[in-house]
Amino acid sequence: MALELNEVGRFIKAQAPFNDLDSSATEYFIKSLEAVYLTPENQNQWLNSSAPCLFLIRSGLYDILDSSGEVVARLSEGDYFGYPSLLTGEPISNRLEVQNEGIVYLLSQMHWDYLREHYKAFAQYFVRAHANRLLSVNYKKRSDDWSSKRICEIMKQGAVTADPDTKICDAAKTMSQFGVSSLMITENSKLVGVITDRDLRNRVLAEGRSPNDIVATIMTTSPKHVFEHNRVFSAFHLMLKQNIHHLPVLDEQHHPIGMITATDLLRQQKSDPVQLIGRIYKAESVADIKRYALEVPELLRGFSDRVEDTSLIGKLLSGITDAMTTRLIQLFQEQNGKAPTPFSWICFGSQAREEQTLHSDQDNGLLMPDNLTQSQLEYFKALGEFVCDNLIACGIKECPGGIMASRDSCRMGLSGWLNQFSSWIKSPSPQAILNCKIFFDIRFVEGSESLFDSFSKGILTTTKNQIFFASMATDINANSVPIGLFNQFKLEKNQQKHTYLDLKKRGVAIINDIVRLYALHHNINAANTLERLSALAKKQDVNKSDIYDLKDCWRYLTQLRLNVQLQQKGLPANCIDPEDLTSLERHQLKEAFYLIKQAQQAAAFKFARGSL
Amino acid sequence: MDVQTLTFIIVGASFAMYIAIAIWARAGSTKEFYVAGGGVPPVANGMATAADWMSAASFISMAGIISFVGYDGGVYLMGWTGGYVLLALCLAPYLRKFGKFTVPDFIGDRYYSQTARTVAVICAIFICFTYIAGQMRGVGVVFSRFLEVDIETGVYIGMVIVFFYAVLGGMKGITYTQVAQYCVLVFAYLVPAIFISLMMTGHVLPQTGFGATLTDGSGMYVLDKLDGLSAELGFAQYTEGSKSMIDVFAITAALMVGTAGLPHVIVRFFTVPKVKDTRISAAWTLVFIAIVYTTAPAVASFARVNLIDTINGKDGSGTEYAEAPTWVKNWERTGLITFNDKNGDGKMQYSAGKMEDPNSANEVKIDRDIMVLANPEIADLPAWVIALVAAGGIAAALSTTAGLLLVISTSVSHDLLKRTLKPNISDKQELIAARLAAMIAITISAYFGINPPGYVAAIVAFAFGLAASSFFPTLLMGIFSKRMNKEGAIAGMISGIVFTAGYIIYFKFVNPGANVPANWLFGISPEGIGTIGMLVNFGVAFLVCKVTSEAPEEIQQMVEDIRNPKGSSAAHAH
Amino acid sequence: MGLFESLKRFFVLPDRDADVLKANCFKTDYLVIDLELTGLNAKQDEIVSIAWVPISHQRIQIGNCQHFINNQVSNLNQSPVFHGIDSDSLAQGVPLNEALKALNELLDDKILIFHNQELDWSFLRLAFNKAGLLHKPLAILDTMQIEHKRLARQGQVIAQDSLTLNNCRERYRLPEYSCHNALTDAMATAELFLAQANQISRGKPLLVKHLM
Repeated sequence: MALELNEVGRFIKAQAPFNDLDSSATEYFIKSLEAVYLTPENQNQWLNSSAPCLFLIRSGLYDILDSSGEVVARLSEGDYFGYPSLLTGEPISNRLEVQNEGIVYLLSQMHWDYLREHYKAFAQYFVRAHANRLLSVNYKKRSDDWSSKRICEIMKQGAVTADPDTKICDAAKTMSQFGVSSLMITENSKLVGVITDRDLRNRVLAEGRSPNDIVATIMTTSPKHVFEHNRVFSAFHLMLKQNIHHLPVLDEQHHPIGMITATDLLRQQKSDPVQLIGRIYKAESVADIKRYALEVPELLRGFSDRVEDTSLIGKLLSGITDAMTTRLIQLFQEQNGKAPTPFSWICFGSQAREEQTLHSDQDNGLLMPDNLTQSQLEYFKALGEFVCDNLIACGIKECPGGIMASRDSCRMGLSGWLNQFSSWIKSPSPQAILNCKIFFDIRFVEGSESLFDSFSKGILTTTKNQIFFASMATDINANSVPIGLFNQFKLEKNQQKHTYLDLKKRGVAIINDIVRLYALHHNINAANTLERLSALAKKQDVNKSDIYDLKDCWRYLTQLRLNVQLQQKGLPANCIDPEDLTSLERHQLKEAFYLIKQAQQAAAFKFARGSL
Repeated sequence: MDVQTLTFIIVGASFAMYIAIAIWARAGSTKEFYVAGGGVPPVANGMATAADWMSAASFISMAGIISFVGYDGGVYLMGWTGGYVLLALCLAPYLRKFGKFTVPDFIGDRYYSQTARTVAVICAIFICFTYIAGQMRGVGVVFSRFLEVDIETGVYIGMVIVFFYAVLGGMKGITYTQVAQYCVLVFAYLVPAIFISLMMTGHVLPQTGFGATLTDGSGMYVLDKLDGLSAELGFAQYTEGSKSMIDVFAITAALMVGTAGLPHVIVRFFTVPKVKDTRISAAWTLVFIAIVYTTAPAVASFARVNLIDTINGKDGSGTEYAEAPTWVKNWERTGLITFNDKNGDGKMQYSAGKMEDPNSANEVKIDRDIMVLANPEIADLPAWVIALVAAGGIAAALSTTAGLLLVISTSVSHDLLKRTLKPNISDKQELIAARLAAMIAITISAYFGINPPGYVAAIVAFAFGLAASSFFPTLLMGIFSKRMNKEGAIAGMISGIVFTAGYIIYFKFVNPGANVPANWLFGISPEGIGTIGMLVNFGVAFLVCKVTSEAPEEIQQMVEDIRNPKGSSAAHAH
Repeated sequence: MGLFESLKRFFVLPDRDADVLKANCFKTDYLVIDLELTGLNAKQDEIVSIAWVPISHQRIQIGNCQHFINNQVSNLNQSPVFHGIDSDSLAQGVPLNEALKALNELLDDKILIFHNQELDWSFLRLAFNKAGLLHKPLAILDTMQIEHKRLARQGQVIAQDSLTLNNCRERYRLPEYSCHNALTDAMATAELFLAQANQISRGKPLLVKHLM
């Protein structure tokens, strides 16, 4: 009776996938469980291929080793194992090594089959878990890759703060008392400024200022900052770009929770990609940048083996392009004098989405104020040509569609750009929609942020047009997923008679399009697909599970795409031959495509009132 | 080959063609050919819109109604054509500038009110239901005749086919399928008309044959002969109206403004990317509609002459029932022609009056909806022409029904369910809800198709009446009166549709016996009451608006901007 | 006489019991029982609730656990918070006899396990007697005594509270259970028993009698 009183029930209910599942499924699961005490001596009794079970760890610590003895995963409380052989029907190939003995719950095949058949979410959860395990290349090395860690994992907790009206001498005392080289200045627990050792030297001692002045007079106001959940990589990038050594770390509510310093980062293992970006930002000449650019392909090869989250590779490449662009702009200004007016260098498409690959071409533009004089226009024309030409020299190909700041059509004043956007929106012809797909993924790279802000505000007001949304949705549906009427793959063929599926064009790109449409509809400024999805998940009238589905599909396809890229066999880029996949992977791929198809239909239905 | 086999082949071939085009269009789009081609050309879009526009009512019933009531039937012709012009010129361009894709969205945003949107959604669903009911009846007539089953079974078959086509097939939204449907439709309409015109008057064009003399040696004009026959048999003169002036005016007006408010046609104007192309394709649509509509009166009068001549015989004494042409027998099986030999002479006599009335000499009851379909049979045209007409009728019904079902299912699942009742519904649930809504809509419409409150054109006229009394005034005020507020609009819509629906329901369902001009309000028939409903809507809206606070400043500003466009010129400044 | 009965049952073991004692402890069926009581005196105090957890071939059968609350408790001496039982859950209870009947049917071929059998079994035996369900279990094991023996053999000083259920479990790094009711404790005892048996055996055969 009263199983809910039980600790078992409490534990299971908090456990994925049961936290999202019907209570009837959870109840069935709990009632069918058996608990055993798993030890090195008795493990073979439980893990044998003749009676496969699903295992859920309640306590203890266990390593899963593959046939070669490599640790595939370390499992602890709340982790499942045993599902791969339940899913595939193949014998157990991995070995278990008990680190700490403990209680493990068992679910027999019969009950597993029942749940899998009756609760789709249950089956889905394990299918995905299996996929993730298969895809996490070299699992063990994950902990080594520090730049993909979150900032909160490497920072020291505890913010040393002071009020803006603290005397400089008192602030200095606080700093030495806590042994820190910087101090965050807060007002109502919001960060308003930062002072560092260097400020005390340069702005107080060197200027002969009185130590009785308040810190507000010497602090750096509105300092750059990062959030605790950002990647270490982003913090490093920001420090290198801004040439600063201290970065306040804020939590979600924008309250300071600590400071991360360049030393903190250096203490971590040195990493090539980040170093490279640093070198680019400090490059002395265009020739230097070009030389560094040559290292990118090799670097990427080394890096992509090591990361688990593949979206990081796109980020990294976009970061390198950003760095090259920024440095080129700075070098141009060093040679030709400072820009006559504020301007913003913006990027579009995959660079803006931070999904760049080695094959991506340039998509960028130059945003200027209105009503410039002829000589000012000449200056920016030269700037655009200088940067774009040198980017080509650095291996970032010329855009076949001419979306480059070197062209007049992509070097416009604020109202020129806005008119361009509004004409596409008002007359959404196929060409205009094609442009929108590229131009609506937009990100600021270098120059004046306030100019860019007024631009993005302007765009948001012009997009509020349902007819435009309807055209976007119709366009999304024109691109079909490669699944036929009878759930078979629809393959494409090239001249060499290879049959293949295009994961990018028929999968990732469709998700990007759908997410862009929703993001525009909900006024979301981000350009990165995952960021857009995260922002969408916070909106009231958006269904969370739809968003998670899209996220999962996106991740799955991106990872699969990367995996096959590493083992090419004469297929076009981003394409796979489903024959090369295991039956489980094929099943997952179909499932992903099915979800995309459904999202496509729903978008057409919501925005274009079309196709059921 | 007999007619039935040929019908199967031709209808089957037309379906195969639609499906093939759909597949081709999808495959084509994946090759991105259409991006290079710059989209659908305006001519094709015009044809597609015409197919959307011309329903089973236009195809099957309009000529039938003109044929039976003569001059009075012309109101449908005038109303529908006028409505299209009104929509294309006065409403669509402004709605487009507003940037709203559906009528309820426009109303919801213009009147800054979720309630207004919900009322509009409910009105839209109501109108679409009525309209689909007319289509189902039309499809039912076609299937019952050509599969030789009764009308009820015909409607069921039609229901299943429409459901598969519109809901499961996802055929809607493919312009070229609709282009094909228009071609089938117009071909099916014109071929028999040209044949008959040639046979009766020697003119190739039915439009000129209509005003020409007969070739039977009498040298009479077609219409003169028809007037003579009508007078002889106790009908009103064909070219004389029997409806009062005010009723004719009201019906025409209701049809016109109702048409302009029909939700599934308005959307068509928004799917063309460029404003300039919209205008061109609207003009083309008018041409394509005109081809059919100008043929209708000719078809109607030829059919009438043929019908009376065939049933009553050349000498007017009646045809022996035993020797009746096969088409009479065929249609008797559907229950749409009935013969009661009241004087027992074994001959069929057709004249004015109701067949059921023992005092009337009329022995034959003929459903008006069969006129266009039976026309080629009456004129003894080859079997393939008859089969072609069936395909045309189905094409007309399919193209319209698919569009309407989409409006219903999106309104129910997206506007009502997602926006109002359950905002957190998932995509999958939304799509399921939509399909369910479509299914329920078809089922309910099929019920009304089997138990119709009138013939097809009249049911459709009700739909238009409802649209006229709810949407049109609200749209018009939304565009042209910047002061109009939400209270006025909602009150207007509700009172308009309640008044109109109430009037129609009273005379058609509650007390059908009282449905004579003497009992009508201002002598206006239920078909035309939408016009009064529209005036009620206007009146109530302005009254309520006067006593409540006027629309917020930013709404007034927005309306002002849309009527005096300045954005469009700025767009070309660079 | 209750005491006499129990003594007789305890010391005069019939033949089939001897078989039980020689059985492999990993291949035997057990029933782990826990009671919540109003006090420590079997004569005066009452059983508040009773729960049992079956173990078969080292597998704890979670689906076959039972938990009964005695709705005839006349006086809840201890704070109801401690047992997690309030008047609401009392209302969902059953008469004690019903629970005992259900339990009685399971006892035939199973060894009973308690944590501190002295206390719990004395209450249970008395209750069985009162209900006229005289029953003699196959054998009784006590995780507390097993633990005591193990610690003593390792030569550890046994502190006063080191043999509580929670402290025993901690020694085996079993998860900490926050809520305390008969069912949770029975489950906790069952897990403890499996941990003890496995650690004592360390892969070698272990007979039931070695755990007595």
